[in-house]
Amino acid sequence: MKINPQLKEELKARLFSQAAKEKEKVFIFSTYQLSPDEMTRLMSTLPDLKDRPCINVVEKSLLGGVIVQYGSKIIDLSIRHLLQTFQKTIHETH
Amino acid sequence: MKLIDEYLQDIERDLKKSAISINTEEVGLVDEVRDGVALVTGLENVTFGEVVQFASGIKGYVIDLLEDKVGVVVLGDYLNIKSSEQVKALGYTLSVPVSEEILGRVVDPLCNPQDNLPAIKADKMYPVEKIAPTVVYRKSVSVPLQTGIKAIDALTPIGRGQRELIIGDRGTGKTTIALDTIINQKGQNVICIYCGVGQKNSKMALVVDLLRRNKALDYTVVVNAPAADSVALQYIAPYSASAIAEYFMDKGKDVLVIYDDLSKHAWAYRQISLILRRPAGREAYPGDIFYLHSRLLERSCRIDEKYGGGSITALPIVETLEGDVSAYIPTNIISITDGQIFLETDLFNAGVRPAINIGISVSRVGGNAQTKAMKQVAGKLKLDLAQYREMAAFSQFESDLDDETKKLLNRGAKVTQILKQDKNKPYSLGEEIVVLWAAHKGYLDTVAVNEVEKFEKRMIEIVRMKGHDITRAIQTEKIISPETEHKLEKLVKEVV
Repeated sequence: MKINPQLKEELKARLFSQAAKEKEKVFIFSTYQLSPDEMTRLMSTLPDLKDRPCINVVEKSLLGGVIVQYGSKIIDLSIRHLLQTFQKTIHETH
Repeated sequence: MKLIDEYLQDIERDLKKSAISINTEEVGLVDEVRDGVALVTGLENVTFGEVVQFASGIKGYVIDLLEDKVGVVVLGDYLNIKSSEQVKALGYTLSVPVSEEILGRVVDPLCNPQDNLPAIKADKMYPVEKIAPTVVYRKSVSVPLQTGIKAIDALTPIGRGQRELIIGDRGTGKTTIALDTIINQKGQNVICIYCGVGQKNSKMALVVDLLRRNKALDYTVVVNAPAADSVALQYIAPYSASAIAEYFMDKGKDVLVIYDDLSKHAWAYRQISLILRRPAGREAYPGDIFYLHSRLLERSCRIDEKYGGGSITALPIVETLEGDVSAYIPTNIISITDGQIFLETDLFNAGVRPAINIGISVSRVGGNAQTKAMKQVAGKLKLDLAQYREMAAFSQFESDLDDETKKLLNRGAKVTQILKQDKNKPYSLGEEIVVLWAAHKGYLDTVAVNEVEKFEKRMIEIVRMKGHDITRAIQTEKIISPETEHKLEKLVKEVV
């Protein structure tokens, strides 16, 4: 069976636009559900992301702090990340 | 313990700071892992050639940018990479640490030691991929690079900054020529780099051992990407070797790089390209296979003294199948380089070693770099050999030949004989010229063919014993003066 090339193109375009919409979203990973107040305070420190839709995801493995992800960019402010860099520094100096 | 205290202090200091520094990182997720290549989604703002790090600590570098994915070549064990693992862009292009310390070492393409010695302390980081110097910075080739092999120095001379291809079937002595050239660079103020691509580790061990025994390792770096390594490492090995060479060249030094061999390098790149589903062209090589080698060999050059001087001479090696030089990769590299030394199985089996086919070996720029003394003896030799080849077909009917032809045949046979040379025994310029001068003046015409070798040995012995003034004169004056010629005549007559 041959797929109509036009159909294929349209499907592809739809998928890409959906993916682009997904990229608009800002994901905030934290160890507990953030209150609306906390969310607004956090977003005020990141002026570029003010008007974007926000989603809070609970992720216990962070140990503390938050991770902000939008598109392929990530801002890692978690305790886990700090500990990992700490471990790396120790490993590299020895 | 003191160290941990320092860390704690650092942490406390960091905590006291009111503002947290916000670093935005570029990340993606592993979508697929193929042989040595990972496909990653995300990483939208990554650049071509940028280094990325997988969550497991393995590094890779971007080689393919697609509409929604990024192709990453994995520099390490790709079997440990899991699907949907996080990948972080590190924001710099692939570079290798270089310093003077690297001399005498055996390293992998990322300059990690392979000789059980401590890691190389970096003086500078040099990018693996770099655009070659432009015409403004360059100077034409005019200083010879003595290989110490009579046949090459006389007939296809190599200059510093030249790219001379060594091509031939397997087992014809390609690597031997390259290694002899390295051995001969002792005291010539040349840094040597031997880059093995897709070689057997046992062969590399032999190479290192040979260099060590000949005390050539002190000024040599061995870059090793054996057949057991992933193709990604084999692919970047020549570029890394080139980066190391550039470090020394930028210090104004002359560098000799041997790429052994580029046909295996092309295979490695073909594998990566096919895995990345790039359209396959002739012999399934990708479309940019020419650029793969041209951008590498273009980095060999001689820099004008105004810009610091220094040079990179490249001796790429290509293996042919059944002597077929018209295959894809050999023709590509022949057209890129400034000449080729063609080695033949038939000659090798006939005992002509090095098995150089003089008829089709050329050096397009090396002639300008040849010393005057060598030109004095080599010019006639070339003519003798050319005439010999032309007449060789008649040699079966020797009885019907006139005296003139017989003379030519005799001379040619002797010259062919004198150009033979044992492996790992390079000659100095003086010694080369003394031997070739004897052939050029016809002193060998009366010596029987099977006696030529003995004659040469005796001559070298005598030269080393009491001909020091002759070799020194040639070495310094770079010309055979009438006075030297007179002395030479006396010496050769003694041998005959």
